[in-house]
Formats: sequence, structure tokens, C-alpha cells
Amino acid sequence: MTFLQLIRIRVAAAAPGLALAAIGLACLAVALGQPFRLPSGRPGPGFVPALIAGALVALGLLQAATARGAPPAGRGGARAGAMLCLAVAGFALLLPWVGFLPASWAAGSLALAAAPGLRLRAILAGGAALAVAATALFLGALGLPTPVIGLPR
Amino acid sequence: MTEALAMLYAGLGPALEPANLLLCLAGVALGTLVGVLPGLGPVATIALLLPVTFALPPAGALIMLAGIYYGAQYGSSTTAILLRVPGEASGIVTAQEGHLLARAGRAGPALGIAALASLLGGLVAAVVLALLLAPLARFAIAFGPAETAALMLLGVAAAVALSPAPLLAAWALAALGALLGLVGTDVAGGRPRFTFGIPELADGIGFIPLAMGLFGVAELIRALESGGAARRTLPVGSPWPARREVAAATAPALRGSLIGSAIGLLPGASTLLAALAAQAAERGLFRRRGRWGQGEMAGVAAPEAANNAAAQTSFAPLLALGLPANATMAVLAGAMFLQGIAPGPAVVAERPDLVGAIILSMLVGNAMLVALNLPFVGLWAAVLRLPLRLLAAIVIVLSCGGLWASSGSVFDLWLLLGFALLGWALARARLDPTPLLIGFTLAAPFEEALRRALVLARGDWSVFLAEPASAALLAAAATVTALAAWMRCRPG
Repeated sequence: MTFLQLIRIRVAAAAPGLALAAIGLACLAVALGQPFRLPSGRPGPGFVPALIAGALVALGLLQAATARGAPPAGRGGARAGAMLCLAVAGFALLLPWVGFLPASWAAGSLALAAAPGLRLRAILAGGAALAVAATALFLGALGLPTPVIGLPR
Repeated sequence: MTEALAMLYAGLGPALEPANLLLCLAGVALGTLVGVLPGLGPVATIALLLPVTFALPPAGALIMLAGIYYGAQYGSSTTAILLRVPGEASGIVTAQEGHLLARAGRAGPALGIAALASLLGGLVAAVVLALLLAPLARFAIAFGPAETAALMLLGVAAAVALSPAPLLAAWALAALGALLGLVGTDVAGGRPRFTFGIPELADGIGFIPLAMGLFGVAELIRALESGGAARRTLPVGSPWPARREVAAATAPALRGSLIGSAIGLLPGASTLLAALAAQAAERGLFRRRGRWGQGEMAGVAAPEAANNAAAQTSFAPLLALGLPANATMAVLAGAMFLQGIAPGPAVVAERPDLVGAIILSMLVGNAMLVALNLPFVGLWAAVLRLPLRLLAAIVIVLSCGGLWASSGSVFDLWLLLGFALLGWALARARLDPTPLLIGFTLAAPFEEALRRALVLARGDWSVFLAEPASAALLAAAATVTALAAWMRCRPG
């Protein structure tokens, strides 16, 4: 194993800890901008967040310093994760503009495409069936005040 | 004893209401379904169903969600025995002997014993829960703010100790969860914190998008990544065990019920731990007597009774102390907050009807589970042929629609996406998100207790060591952490 490979493994192992410490540092900076004590002498709104953020920085750095070997990555490729996240994003993006049915169709189709092996036509048809069922449930049966298609009033 | 009976009497009406009986049936059926299906556990299901609970009364919502949790323990045995794949974590213990029985052509009786042992575990746990809730709540209600803060720290320490993640990373995740839980307007000063000028964050981060994203969507991703193809199961046959098999399994199931009931009471304990302890006890006590390693019925009865019992008694720390013992209980705590009920000793004292109804629903639900599982075991096995891709698509569309229906906020949908990405990243880094969820749930009450303790002590931190109960709880938290560190450092 070369020195460069060792460094790479070390960085990969330390990455989660460093990321947590960085988040903690950012939170600490924000928390320190809040009053630490109120005029009454009571602990202020920045008191507990600063304590916890400080702890997060320390824990993240300690984790990064003591991490041994890169954690074995989860199995499989990124397709499932990417498609399911895109499905949620598609629903959030489309719902306010085109209504419930098209947003559900997009979400259902993208989610069906999360695993390989299904043709595009089947994915779109499956997505459409799911969208119709979801629209019937939420808008028809539960009376959700959202337009089926189009902009909300 | 009188308190327990009074609580059960108060809960009798709500528990036997037709609507609540139907919700109980829906909960246990759904629980069995998600327990059967590898990839979607009870935490994810309860998290995904949180929007539905908005439309339900508190008793009905909690009865249904509780049914999902213990129903999943039942369902998990089907997958464990027929496939050697646990539908729920605790099923991995049942899988060891149960699958060997299935391969020997005894799948049906093994499933039958699993259902009957779970019933026994459920009944014993409901009695334990009824007897212990009132005394536990009385003990906790005497706590001052210092003790309350120390108790919450112990709860987080226990969750961290039992997390499969490295200890420091688990503590860091709990801290991150606590910071997320503090987003919003500070209750004491009325100032916004970590809101970055976003008005939607003034009331804090919603529990539903956090729980749905971190556990629901992320768990679906993990299941799809580990191969969601439909599987072939072993033939089931008749689920009715022979009389001698029932007789042989009764004592192990009873011992498992007691072990599981005791373990479920511990903060941080899990159904997996209960099943492991029950099986270890059986193997240790009766190694020479049974057919361990070749298909031993006690190896099905004991862990199944234990995991169901632990699932039910883990309600005790939540209801009596306000302390979620595990991720499922943290999600249930969120469901209670959404219903305007703060879990803790006050619930036991002020809402005996609600607590009694939950306990009685467990008795009814366990009977429903046997009725659902024994005659229809073939149907549950057939569910395993459902492609996970289709399940994922149904769940995603229903989750997005449900979240929109409950909050009416597109911002919450983006939060759902953010937490799904975080859950996915944590899964890739092999980090368990449970400490984060527990940190999030306990952040606000912990902050309030800590501040009140310091105000009463005029800023003197030694108050946490001066109060005997607080010092004992902090010592317990330190011991749990030290033990967890020692276990992780031990070679092998």
C-alpha cells in the first residue's frame, strides 16, 4: 500500500467526523451570536445550543482523529437513492405548479425507476396508476383542498 | 395493583370502541405486513404514517401505531423462518433455529409456535406494563429539573451505547439531533434560533418530515440497494403445531416473556437484545436437552415471546418517564406531541383512560394477531412475492401526499428530501440515525430542564451532583458509556 493510498483511506475514515465537527462549528458560530444570559440572569437562548454545538465540534474532531480505516460503503450503486430522492423532489417541485395528479405521476414513475429492469412504458403506466389511486384517496376520499391539475386558487 | 385496575377500567371504554378496535386491527395487520417484508421496518412505517394520525383521536392514533410495532415483531418471524431473512432486526434470532425447522418440513408448526409464543409474550408484557406504570410515574413525578435533565442524558447515553455506530460518532449524531431539535423560536426569550430568516422554521423543524426522511425514505433506499427482488419461500403447510410441541415450547415462551418484559423496561433496550438474551438463556440452560443447531422449537418460542414482550414494555419508559427507549418509541413520542400530549409521568396521572386503552389494546391486538397469523400464514408468505420496487413507489407517493395533506407546506416536502438525503448519507457511512432522532426528541425538554435547574441553583452546576437522584442518573449514564466504550474496544 502506497503512502498516498494510506492518506486516502485516512481521509475517508475521518470524513464523517470532520463533517460533523464542521456542522458543529457553524452552529457554534450562530449560537454565539445569541445572548448567553438574559438580563434576568437566566440562561439565554444561545446557552444550550452553544454547549451542544461545542460538544459536537469536540466529538466530531475526536471521531475523526480516532477513526481507523474507511467505513465499508453501503452496498449497491446510487440509482435507488438518487431516484427516490428525485421522486420526492419532483413531487415538491411540481405540486405548486401543476397540481396533485401530475406531481404524483412524476413521483410514482421516478420511484418505480429506482430499481433496474422495467421498461419506460411500464414505468410511466405504473406511475399513472399510482397517481390516479393517490388522487382518488387524498383528493376524492379525504377531501384534500388541492387542485387535481393546475395552479392552486 | 388497585391503581393498575383503575387505569385498565378507565381505558376499557376507549379500548372497546368500535373505531379503536378497527384501528387496532389495521395497526396489527399493517405491522404484520411490514414485519413480513424485509426492508420496511416498524420505525419507518410509523414515521411514514404520522400524517395519518393527525386525523385520528389520540387513543385511536396511539393504539394503531402501537399495533404496528408489536405486529411487526409477529410478522418478522414469517420471513425469518421461511427465508432466514429477518423482516425486523429481532427476527434474526428466530431465523437461526426457525429456518432449520422449515428446511426439515416443519415451517407451519414453527410459524404456529412463533405466533402462540408471541401471544404469551404480549399478554405477560401487558400485565407487567399495567402493574409498573403507576409506580414508575409516581417515582418520576417527584423529579426536579436537575433529575429530569440527568434522566434525559441517561436516555441518550443508553441509545448511543446500543447504537451499532462508533461511540463518538453516535454521541456526535445525538448532539446534531439535539441542535436540530433546538431550531425555532426560543420559548424563554422568544428569539428565533437557527432559522436563518426562513419563516417556516419559526416553529422548529417538523417531526414528521424528519422521521419520514431519516427512517422511511432512507430505509427504502437501503432495502432497494441491498436487492429488492422477490424471493422464493419454503413450503408452509399447516400452521397448527402438535400438542407435544406446544407443551415443549410453553416453558421457553414463558421464560422469554419474562426476560423480554424486563429488558423492554430498560432505556435504550431493543427487541433484538431481548430476543438474543432469551435465546442465550435457553441455550445456556438446556443446551444438552434440545436439538440446538438442527431445528429446536425452543429457539423459536423464546425469542419470539421475548421480542414481543420487549416491544410492549418499552412503552413504560416513554409513558412513565417521557424517555423514548429506542427509535420506534422516539417516533411514537413524536406522534404523542403531535396529538398535544407530552409523554411523561403526567400522562399516567392525568390520562389513565388513554394509558389504560393502550394497554388493553395490546391484549386485544395480540389476540387479533394470532387470528390473523395462524389461518392466513400462507397469505403472508405470498406477500413476500411483492416486488420491493412497487412497494417503494407506493410508499413514496403516499408519503408525499400524506405529508402535503398533514402540513400543507411545500417547505416540509423539501425538508423530507433533505432528511432523506441525510439518512441515505448516514446509511452509506454505516451510521445508525437512532441517536440523532432521540437527541432531536429530547432536545427541547432537556434544554428546559437544564435551564430551570441552573436558575434554581443560581447558576451552580454542582446541583447535578448534589441531588442524589441526579448524581445516580449521571453516574449510570457514565457507566453505560464506559461499558459501551469497553465493549467496542474489546478484541474480537
